[in-house]
Amino acid sequence: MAIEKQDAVQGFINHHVMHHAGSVDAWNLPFLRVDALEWFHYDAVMVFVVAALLLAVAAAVRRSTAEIPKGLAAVAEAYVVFIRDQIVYPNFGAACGRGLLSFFCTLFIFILTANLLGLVPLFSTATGNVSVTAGLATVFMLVCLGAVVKLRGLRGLKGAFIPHGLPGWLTPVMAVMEVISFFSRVFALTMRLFCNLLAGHIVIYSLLGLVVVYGLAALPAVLVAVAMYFFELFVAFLQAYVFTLLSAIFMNMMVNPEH
Amino acid sequence: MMLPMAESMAAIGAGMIMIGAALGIGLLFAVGLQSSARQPELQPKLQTAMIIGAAFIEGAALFALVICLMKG
Repeated sequence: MAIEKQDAVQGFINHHVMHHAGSVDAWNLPFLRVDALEWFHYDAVMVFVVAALLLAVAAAVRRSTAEIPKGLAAVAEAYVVFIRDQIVYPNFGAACGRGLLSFFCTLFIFILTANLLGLVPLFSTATGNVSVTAGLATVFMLVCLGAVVKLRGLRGLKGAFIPHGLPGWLTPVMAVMEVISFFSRVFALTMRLFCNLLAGHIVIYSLLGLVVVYGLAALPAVLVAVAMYFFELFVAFLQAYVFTLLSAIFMNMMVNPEH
Repeated sequence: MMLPMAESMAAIGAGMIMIGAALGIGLLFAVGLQSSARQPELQPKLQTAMIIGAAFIEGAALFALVICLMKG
């Protein structure tokens, strides 16, 4: 009896859960199954859905230049002002920050929208895939190096990676440590966003999987799953903020090295 | 001797990583909250410093977690 129930749980997980948490070859909509193209994964499609949604919102608020914005423009301005005053200007100052503001706004709003769309029942989380977050972190790495070269010239790379104010024999060691820590920051950004987003989904699916084994007695598990869903809503906002804030801080550490 | 339990040793390692990371971040934020209660005007700077510290600790924990995932 226990073995059959275990097989039932395994079958439930393989059929219903793994295609949310793992790689997907087909879109299992409720009454329809669409075999995806060979080179389009469900999370990749979600990236394009997020991009299309954001472009639609941007086109809608493009021409609202009123002094006091209303409606969708007010929401968009609230986000941009939040990023400008809390993340970019405290780190970079007004002159330098003006050019970098659009990059950080893009990061924040893309990650936030991708996280939130993953909570809608039929969609998958774009940022819950390590390839998407690795792509975001790689873009951050390239923009970081580009900003250092553009704002400080090629000597800026020397200033960013080689600390000064140390005894002569220690500087090569610290330079190697700086290069390693640059790549480790990029890796940590990737893994932090990916793990936080994926773990929330897996916890919810595991709790709902208890219904297969216990039936109606698993109602408290369903209530806990609903509570975890609201917690995941909070984590979506928090992780977008943390990714953008850490990107700003790391870029600031490279563009303006402290003395 | 320990080989039949190899898979769960990775899970035990992940649990130990969690203890270390949670202790580190908890101590950091405890000191940060205390300091911002003593001098509320420093609160934005303290918050930035706390987030940077938490990022570094979490980075170290993620390195160890990757080894756990590779080995189990």
